[in-house]
Amino acid sequence: MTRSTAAAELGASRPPGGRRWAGAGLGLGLVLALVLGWVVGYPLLITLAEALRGPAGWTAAGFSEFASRPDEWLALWRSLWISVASVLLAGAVGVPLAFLFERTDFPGRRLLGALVALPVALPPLVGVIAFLFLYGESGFVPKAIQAVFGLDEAPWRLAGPGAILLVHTYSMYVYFYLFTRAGLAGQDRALEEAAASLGAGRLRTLFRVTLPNLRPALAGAALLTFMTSLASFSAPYIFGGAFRVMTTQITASKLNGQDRSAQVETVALAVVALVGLWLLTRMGGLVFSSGSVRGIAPRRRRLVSPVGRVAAAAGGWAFTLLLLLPHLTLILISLVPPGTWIAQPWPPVLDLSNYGRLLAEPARLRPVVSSLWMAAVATFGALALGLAAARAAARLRGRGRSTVTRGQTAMGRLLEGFIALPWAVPGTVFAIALATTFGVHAPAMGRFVLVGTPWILPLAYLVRSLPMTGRSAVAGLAQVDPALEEAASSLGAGRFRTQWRVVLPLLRPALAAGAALAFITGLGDFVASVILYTLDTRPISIEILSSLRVQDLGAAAVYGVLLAVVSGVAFFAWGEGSRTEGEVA
Amino acid sequence: MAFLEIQRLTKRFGDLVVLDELSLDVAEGEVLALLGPSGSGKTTFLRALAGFETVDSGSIRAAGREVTRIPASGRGFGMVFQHYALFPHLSVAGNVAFGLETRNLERSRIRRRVEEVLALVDLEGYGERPVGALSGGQQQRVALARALAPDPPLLLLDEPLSNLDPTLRERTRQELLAAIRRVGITTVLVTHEQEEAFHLGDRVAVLWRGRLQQVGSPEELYLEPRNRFVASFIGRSTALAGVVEGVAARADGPDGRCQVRLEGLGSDSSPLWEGRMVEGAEPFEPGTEVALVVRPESLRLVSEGEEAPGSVAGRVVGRRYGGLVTYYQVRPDGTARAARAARAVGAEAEALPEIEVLADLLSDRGLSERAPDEGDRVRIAPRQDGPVPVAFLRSSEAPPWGPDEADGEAGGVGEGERVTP
Repeated sequence: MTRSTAAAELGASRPPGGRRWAGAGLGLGLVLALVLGWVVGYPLLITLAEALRGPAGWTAAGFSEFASRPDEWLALWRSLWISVASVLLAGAVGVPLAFLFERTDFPGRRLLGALVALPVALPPLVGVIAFLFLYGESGFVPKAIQAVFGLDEAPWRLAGPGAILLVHTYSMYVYFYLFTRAGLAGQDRALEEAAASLGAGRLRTLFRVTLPNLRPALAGAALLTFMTSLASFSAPYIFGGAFRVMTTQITASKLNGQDRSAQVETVALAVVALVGLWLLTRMGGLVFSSGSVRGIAPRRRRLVSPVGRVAAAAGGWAFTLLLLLPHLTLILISLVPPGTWIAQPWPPVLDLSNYGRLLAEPARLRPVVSSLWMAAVATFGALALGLAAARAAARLRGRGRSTVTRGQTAMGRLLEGFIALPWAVPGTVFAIALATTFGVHAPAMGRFVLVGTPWILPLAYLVRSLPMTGRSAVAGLAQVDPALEEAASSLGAGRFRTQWRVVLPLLRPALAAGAALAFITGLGDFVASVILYTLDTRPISIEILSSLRVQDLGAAAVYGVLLAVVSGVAFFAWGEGSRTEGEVA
Repeated sequence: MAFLEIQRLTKRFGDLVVLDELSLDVAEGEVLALLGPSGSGKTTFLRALAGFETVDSGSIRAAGREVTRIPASGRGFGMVFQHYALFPHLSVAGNVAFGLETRNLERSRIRRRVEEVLALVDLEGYGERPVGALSGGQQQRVALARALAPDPPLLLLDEPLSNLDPTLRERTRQELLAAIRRVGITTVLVTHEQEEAFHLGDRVAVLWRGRLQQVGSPEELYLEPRNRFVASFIGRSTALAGVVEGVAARADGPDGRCQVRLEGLGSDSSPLWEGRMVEGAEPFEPGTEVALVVRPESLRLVSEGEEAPGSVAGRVVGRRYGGLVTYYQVRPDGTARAARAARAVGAEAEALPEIEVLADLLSDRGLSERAPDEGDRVRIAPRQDGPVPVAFLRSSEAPPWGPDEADGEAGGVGEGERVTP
């Protein structure tokens, strides 16, 4: 009797919900859409409006002036071809490398395979200054060549499009490498065997079967590389000089006080980015919907011939060393006390005095503290906002439920769109948009003066990292079987308990990976900082720049090392949870 | 001369011997089914035939040509993969044409051949469809068409039906067999399902622990198992411990009989059952300890009051009604000695054996008036007209073949279907 009573009590404790929440979902979605729209969509609209406003009402004068200036077209053209060339070069390096590490086995493969992915974890500016120290005019390699051949001048100048492409290739091949590896790991071994059983040799199998099946992976990598390259700022800023691309053009306009030009250029760049995104998605977005995609990935080819083994190992090690050389250089330079290294091929003095100065002088430590707290605040905000929006979107789009209204679906789409938008639009664009929107006090219009306050940079970082946390949450939620939530509620767990005990723990790896990327983005940000920073909250990247200006290479290197170490630790510590061998985030 | 000659094929993965000196001949046009539990080496064997696995020693000759060291792409064998491995980026026709294109044929010839093969598998007009849009059964047929298109001398099928749901499986099996017969192609297929092997194979090769246990027609395997593994793997059976008491006059012949006293069974005296000594083995001496493998249809339930020599009393512990036939699990009366003996013939614990007995609607009509139910007392006895149980030396290699080898087995295999009380 007691048992049945208890069972009845348990069973009766919670009325079946469902429809009630559908309505509430719409309300919550509306609130989130307003918040996201305000920080993500609204600034872009304001920028467009400002670009179209003249002293006497609406005008397209800004745009016609833009169209009449050859240097603007040139910058646009350069942005485009640099991006296309970056895609080709990054692919040429990353794809073979992925085959080497995924399809062959040699001593040290696992360790090197992880190290090779390292550049993706480093802020672009760090890579750029590392290249500067290694291959720049007074870098190691030119100095060594000078010494060996007795040259009076450096053998080359690291400048112009070649230098930009070099840095782009170096930092973006990782996209191709990771995507191709994941694609190869996911490919059914039987596909290649089927080709072989039908008489196809190795090359034919590669070109007719393996590569076509990698198309989604390659298209994804190409898209990512193109967008990153289009938005790239550090490399063109440091190496470009007179070779202006759109991002540097915009920044120059803004820093010269030509706000209107900057706004018009910003709109142009945003349009190019969105059109590029649209085109590339259409071209490569074909996803094979075969039910037969399962089975085991091909085994690694154990290289039997000693020559092959040695060659693969030597190639792998040599390439990894080449990739790590810039970072090793960075560490080395950080150990050179100021003013001690003039013309020698190797620095005569190495000590920790640069690090000592960093700790001893509060003025030098301040940028580090600023960057850390701003990135942390931005990450936290982006995580909360991204997760809330992703959950609301999933709920509105009817995951696991069949009855959703069109309004709910549209609201879900809108939320997902807002999450993804900052990824599609270059950082420079958002920096200008935020500067434009939050440089004016008009509370009725939702505009407040944030420029010049400590809050503008965290906001910019938050917006930029929203896609990382938000997309991770969306992807993570898609992996959570709706039946799990239903199981939890069938066991009597309320909404909160279901989220806390079931959904969040399952999302943790995805969220951790997103948060790690968001934190790294904020910490190393240069593109938005250079436009929006205030003197009191100068971030590390700006400090690196001013150290370079006063030729204090050691200090710049110390900051670079610091950024690299913190980023690397964040990437591997947080990201580890979501990564398994072969399946790369 | 056999079309396919496999001699002493050996493959090791580290210390594990996956294929152990396996020799086998397949005649031209023959369909050979490789049957074995998972982990028996059958898939490795097929992959070695196809050229996806290198072997450590031994040779494979096809149509007189030595192919052991030739890579898969040079062997020209057709293969249907377990999950089909259809190229997802190509259409149905693109998949089927793939093997033809490697031979530099004219376009029009390729197109004609593609249509021809698609017609063979009943998929005319499906050429332009993406393979992802096909049902599982259709994908299977495309995979078959793709393998057959280049007109290979040998067709290899890796669990060709395991990916289909049961209702579709039997029909697809018929169609598969029809297509193979129409082409008349020599075929080797791998399966872990006895029914599938018996239906498709002209001959069935039973593989266990990398060794060929027996090759023969389905009838031979079922009625004349050559060793204890085959006897228990093929069909349903119970192994009983016994001691040979006498050997029949024809003991030296291929079908020698012996009298086996079942150890410790029965309440007062243990029953004496007839057993058949396995072909090739020396006749057993009286006193030899044997395992008597008894099929359910070798036994019957004895009606009350009937005199039946060798009958054993027991209790029904399980009953599976299946229409025409009903299987009873009967735990016979017996002593502690019987429980110990059961362990010695492969039971997992010391317990009285559960003997499976078949009652069928036609010959056991009397029983159906009031069929015994669980808990009822019954007597069981050998059928006069049933297959004679087979006696093996108790020391011979015996099941259980371990959970790792038996897992994933389904249908027709006694081990997985044992009724537990």
